[in-house]
Amino acid sequence: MNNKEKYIAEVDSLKAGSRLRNAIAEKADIKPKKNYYKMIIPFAACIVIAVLISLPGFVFRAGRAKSAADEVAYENAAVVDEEAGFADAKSEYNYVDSVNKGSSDPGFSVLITCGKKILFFDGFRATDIINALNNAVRTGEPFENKGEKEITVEIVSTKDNSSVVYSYYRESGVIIRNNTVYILNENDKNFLEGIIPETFTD
Amino acid sequence: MSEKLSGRDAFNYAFENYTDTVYRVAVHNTPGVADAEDISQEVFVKLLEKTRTFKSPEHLKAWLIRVTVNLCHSLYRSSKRQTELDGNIPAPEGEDLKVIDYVKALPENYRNAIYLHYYEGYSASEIAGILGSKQNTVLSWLRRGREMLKEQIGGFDDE
Repeated sequence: MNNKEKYIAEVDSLKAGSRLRNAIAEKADIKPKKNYYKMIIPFAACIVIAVLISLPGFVFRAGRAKSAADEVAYENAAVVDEEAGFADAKSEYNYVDSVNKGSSDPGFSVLITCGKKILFFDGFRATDIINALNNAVRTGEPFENKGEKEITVEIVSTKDNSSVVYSYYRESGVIIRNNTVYILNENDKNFLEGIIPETFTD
Repeated sequence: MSEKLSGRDAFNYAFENYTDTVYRVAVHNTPGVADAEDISQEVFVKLLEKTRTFKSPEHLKAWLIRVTVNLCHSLYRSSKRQTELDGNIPAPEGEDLKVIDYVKALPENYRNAIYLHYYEGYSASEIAGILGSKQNTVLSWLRRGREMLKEQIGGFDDE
């Protein structure tokens, strides 16, 4: 950088500060343009603080489900918690459930293929199941790298038959390739049965 | 953009677009930030009081620069500081100096020509129009300014 370039950079850094702008605006009785970047920072901080404060509330809500579908999904998460030893499943589920409040549509079916096995569920909220799966995938400890069974998770709308394929990833135990989840051992089948025990079919 | 500007529109346009420019010109012609801010405010007050119509935003900008330079000049010509500073900013001292400090230490016409040419991108004839001088005189200011900077900091432009 030669001296001319340094000079230009130095001049470029000279900017009329808010004090000067406010003083000029005051003289002209106009409102200076607000610096939105500076406004966003405290706003974002307030949101973060609000979320942190309300987190314990999500945990305390662990036993309270909002609807029958929520109740079932919650109980399934509890199965995950108790049988598969996922210590955080309840709070994780509850947290996700609360965060997604209002964003899911109960008019969805869930279609899961697990190797040759096909699961079809009706009446569950799509996000309930996917989030419960994600919680288990995040925990990941019971999964070992044995064999491969292909599982595709597809959410089908009962309204117009449109579908969305969900994917999630965990390095240990579950592998995801192109929206396909590879569950690696028997524990995972048990886990799926724990999620929706009555509708698991061959 | 080539619409005419006058009155409140001119002020609002200048406030949104040229406050930094006015401040930078003021910084080049005053020894401290506080003085530069005072001058900048005064320039905008003059703009508020002004009733003329500007032919274009560029015309408005040129007027603002001219007024800023003139106000700075008047301030130091009329103040007691004039005898101490002789119209110039004190020469820089120390090791942590920036290039702008050396530019500010140049004679008034040299530093304004340097700023307007190298930062604002004005040609010599445009600078002559803004500062009320002749093109050849501006070219001379630029040349001498560069020479002085070369002596002090070993060159300014890659020429």
